[in-house]
Amino acid sequence: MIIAVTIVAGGAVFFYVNSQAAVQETRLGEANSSYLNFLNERFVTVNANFSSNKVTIWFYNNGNLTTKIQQIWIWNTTRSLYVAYNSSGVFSGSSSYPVSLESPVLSISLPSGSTQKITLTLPGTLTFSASRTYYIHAVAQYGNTYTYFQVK
Amino acid sequence: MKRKRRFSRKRKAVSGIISATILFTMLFTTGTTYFLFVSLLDQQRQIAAVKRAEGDQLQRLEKFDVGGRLVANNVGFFLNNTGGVPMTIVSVFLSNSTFFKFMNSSNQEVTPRLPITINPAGSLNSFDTGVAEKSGSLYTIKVLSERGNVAAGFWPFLTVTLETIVRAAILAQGAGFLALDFNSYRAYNTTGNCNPSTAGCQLTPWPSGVAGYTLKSPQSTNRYIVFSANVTNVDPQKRDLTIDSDSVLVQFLKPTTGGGTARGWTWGIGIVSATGLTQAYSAISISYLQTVTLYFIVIPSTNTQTYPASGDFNAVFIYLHGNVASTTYGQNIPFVTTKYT
Repeated sequence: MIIAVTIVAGGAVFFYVNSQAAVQETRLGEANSSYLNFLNERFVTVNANFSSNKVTIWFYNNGNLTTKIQQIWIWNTTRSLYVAYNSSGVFSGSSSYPVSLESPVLSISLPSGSTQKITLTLPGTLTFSASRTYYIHAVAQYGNTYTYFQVK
Repeated sequence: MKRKRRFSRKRKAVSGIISATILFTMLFTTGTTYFLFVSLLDQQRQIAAVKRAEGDQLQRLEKFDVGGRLVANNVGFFLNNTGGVPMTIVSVFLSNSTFFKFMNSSNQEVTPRLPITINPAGSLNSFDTGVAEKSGSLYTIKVLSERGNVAAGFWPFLTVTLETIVRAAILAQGAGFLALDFNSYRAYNTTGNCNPSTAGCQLTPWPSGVAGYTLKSPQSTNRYIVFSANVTNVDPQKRDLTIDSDSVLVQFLKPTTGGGTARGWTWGIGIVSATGLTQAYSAISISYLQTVTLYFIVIPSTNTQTYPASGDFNAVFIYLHGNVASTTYGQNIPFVTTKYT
């Protein structure tokens, strides 16, 4: 009788503890996985080719896993040009524009050891001016960022 | 007594101990599993952090220099691994104001094929991009390493040497913005005596030519002559120069003893491709410190008998005309002499 009571009570405690441990393990596992991906993800912006209203940007993945370029910001020193690109659209000031200004559309896959280019078109009447410096800030899938600047 | 002892032995409770053992085992198993799981995650994080730190460290140790050069009349570069670790070139970017090319392992026209690994203190003496050099064009070469480092070089070289500064001080302030390389005065004939004013005419011997100081007279050889010389933009204000089609090379005959009729010959400026073919003229742009070869191919007459004769000793001038930045530009360069035999 005592054994039965003890096992029932102990079993209840065990299953509760076990389920709580499983929940914690899942959370820890997800957090750990995210952090491992962040550590293994590395990329650089290698080059930018400007035309009057387009820029072709080259990315290189020097990390250990395939990642995606999720968002790109472009601005000039005076911030008279400040444009954000992501997979849902293009944003400048309070206006939004379609993703057709991105070729290919973000987020582009960037396998480890590969180079990938993306051509972005400035929205509206915005243009790139000669001899001016432009900053390109890219955010990858697992949170790493890279800021590149170049004179047109 | 015996019966009582036997009875009390029967009644000894071990069920609690067994239950506690089972319960302890269950909880211990759960706890140990959780502990091992957390330890495993911590271990994974440490390994990843170490790898990341190693990658960052190796990337910082990797250093290399790139310089442009010509490889078989194509734009190329050399690379020195000045870092402490072997490095691998994975991609090359080549561009000028109107042209862009990306090269990686899928490009077969480059020599050697990518990727290329270079040991510390090692060099890649020449990399041929397979892109023919366009005279007067400034190329930017970017080299990407496997670790994500980038180095850039230029062709032609953009280096400010003491010699350049001295030449700028002597020539640019006194004579003009383009400095002539006296040792670069060359002369060419044409294959099959093709009229060099015609596009597609092959210069010979190409690309070396012959020194232009002493030449067989066209009257005796009955062959056309094309001249070339290297000029460098040493404008103290570092502006771009553009040479237009009015630019000429002029030769004046030394007067005979006691005077005589002045005579002179003029060769108009032209364009020659990287393979030595004459081409239709287009404006030549020369950036600051850039050296380009000017060709004077438009002949003064189609009758070679009106050319300098054997024994003529001529003073050579180069008249240049064009634009510097947004203003017009002109320069007369007393150059060399040519004696015809």
